[in-house]
Amino acid sequence: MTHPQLATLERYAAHRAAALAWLVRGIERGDGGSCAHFSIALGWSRPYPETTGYLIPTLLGSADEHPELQLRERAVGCGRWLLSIQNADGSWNGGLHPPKPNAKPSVFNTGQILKGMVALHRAGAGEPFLEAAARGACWLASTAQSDGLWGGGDYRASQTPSYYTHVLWPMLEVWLETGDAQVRTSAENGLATVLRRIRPNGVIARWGFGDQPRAFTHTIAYALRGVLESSRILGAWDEIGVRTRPALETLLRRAELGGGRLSGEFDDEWRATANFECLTGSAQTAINLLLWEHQEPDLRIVNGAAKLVDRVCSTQHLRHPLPGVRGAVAGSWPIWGRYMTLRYPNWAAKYHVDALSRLSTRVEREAEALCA
Amino acid sequence: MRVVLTAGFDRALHAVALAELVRRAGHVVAAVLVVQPLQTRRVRQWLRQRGARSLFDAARRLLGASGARSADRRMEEFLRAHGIVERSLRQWCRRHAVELRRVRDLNAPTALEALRSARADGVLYAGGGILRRGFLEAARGRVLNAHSGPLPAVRGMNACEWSLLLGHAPSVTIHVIDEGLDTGGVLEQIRIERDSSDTIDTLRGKCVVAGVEGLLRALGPLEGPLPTRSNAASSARQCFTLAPVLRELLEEQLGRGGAS
Repeated sequence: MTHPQLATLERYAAHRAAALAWLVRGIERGDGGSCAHFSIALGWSRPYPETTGYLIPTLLGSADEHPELQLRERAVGCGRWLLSIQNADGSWNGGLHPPKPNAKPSVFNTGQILKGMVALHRAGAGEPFLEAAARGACWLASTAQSDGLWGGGDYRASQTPSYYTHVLWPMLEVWLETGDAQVRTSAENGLATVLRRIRPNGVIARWGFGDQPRAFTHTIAYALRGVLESSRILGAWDEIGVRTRPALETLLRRAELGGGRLSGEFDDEWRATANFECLTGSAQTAINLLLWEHQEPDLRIVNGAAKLVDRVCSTQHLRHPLPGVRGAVAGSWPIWGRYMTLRYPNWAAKYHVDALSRLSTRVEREAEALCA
Repeated sequence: MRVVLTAGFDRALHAVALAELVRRAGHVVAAVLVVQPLQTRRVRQWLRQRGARSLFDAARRLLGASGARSADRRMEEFLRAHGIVERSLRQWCRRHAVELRRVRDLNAPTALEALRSARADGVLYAGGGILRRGFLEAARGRVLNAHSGPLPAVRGMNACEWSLLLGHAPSVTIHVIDEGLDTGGVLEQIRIERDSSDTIDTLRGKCVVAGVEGLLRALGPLEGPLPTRSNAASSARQCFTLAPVLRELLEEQLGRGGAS
């Protein structure tokens, strides 16, 4: 039975198609991977292994709807490129590619690439992807400390930031496929450590890039997503996932009060510390709200997610003459904000596509219930 | 009994109806407090919460364009049925020699001073923004509101719409305003009858009319002790303005005769 075609869902489809087309342009200029970002002044950047990795599930997820974009072929191409630059120990380096001479293996980047490897394996793209994922996850587990986190290899902080739950989650995804108990145990240890950092107000200590008490919504959302997805895989919503509820309630309320405009940064008392929006953080927060709502259905949560998505859509140019801007999502809004200043990162477009897909699916499910 | 009436703007038809019917019921409207709508802060807040598109509709209502929405048309019919000729609080106050005080904010010192000097037995809230502790204390906690949804289940904005989306029968709750958001003690729950031709707008219109009638009935209880907040009052998640996609969904549901 068909459900009604809502005008807003059609609008969402147009925004999603434009963002996907932009991502494809970034892959075409990525020398095998996906360009990290587009800048009006500097053009397309070098490819970024980390985000190329987690872009893959997004491409595969939209492949059937957009055959003209050849998303499956591009996802496999990105995956092969990542295989070609994997280190012998199973890790991947940090930063853009090609790496600097002194580049080190990166815990976080390796974790993100695992998502792409697992997604390609699940899509039937071949055994090498699972083998690469298994080796990457083994490297992560073997380099983790007894608390399940990593002493070194962090981006800017002196201790492993809490958004590294976004590494623990893909480790568990690999465990689902390989059954490697060491990987699961290591990820669970890390998760337990991060859960101990949760404060009564929902803030997870050290969820920002550095050691300061403030964090972009981008890393806040990473931290929460890692917990939400880990709880899903472990079937432990009541023990683990539910711990994100206070933070998500606060973000929902802030999103609603701002009509979809969410401050790009908060301190550990939930005070907004930015006069710009971190658009990728807003899109990621919308996804987190929808993941939460999947566990605790309530259209009021969907409403907040929709406002965040609408807000990001309102900043996206669908007919801009510059191909590097058309369909892209800026790091900050206004674009001169402190997060990815004057740039359009590929992960912002990726999360926008993911948020649009999840929201559309959720609303379609509600619409289908109408016709049942 | 002496009552003070609040309103969010001068041409709020439901406030005009309320003022006149309170007067006809033999009570005294001691003062009317009207918030000035055209303030930068209010416009900005409106834009954030409801979006730019709603401004056009709001501007028409402020200018008294009756029939701008079917909810207003329903109130217009109600006024005609009761032989009420005034279409603004200013007209009504002038005709009945009632003090009309325009204020920037109901919580501002000028509003509190007007409230205290009115020596009212209670306040009927017909709009004007969130009431803070100072106003509630000046009114000795005797402020009544008509909320367009069932409390405590549906708190906050667009309550009529959210009632339908959340699976509740449309209703109006007459309740005491306290420091929480729609958390005060409940005096009456009024069920709104639906028919197959109802839209969001017509249902809102029915809710507004039922709210006026409910507040009139509440004048009796307002003379005695008022109910206090229940334990469950603030347990439900707050509702905010509907995102466009959910509004479309609800309109579709209503069009098909669905939603509760």
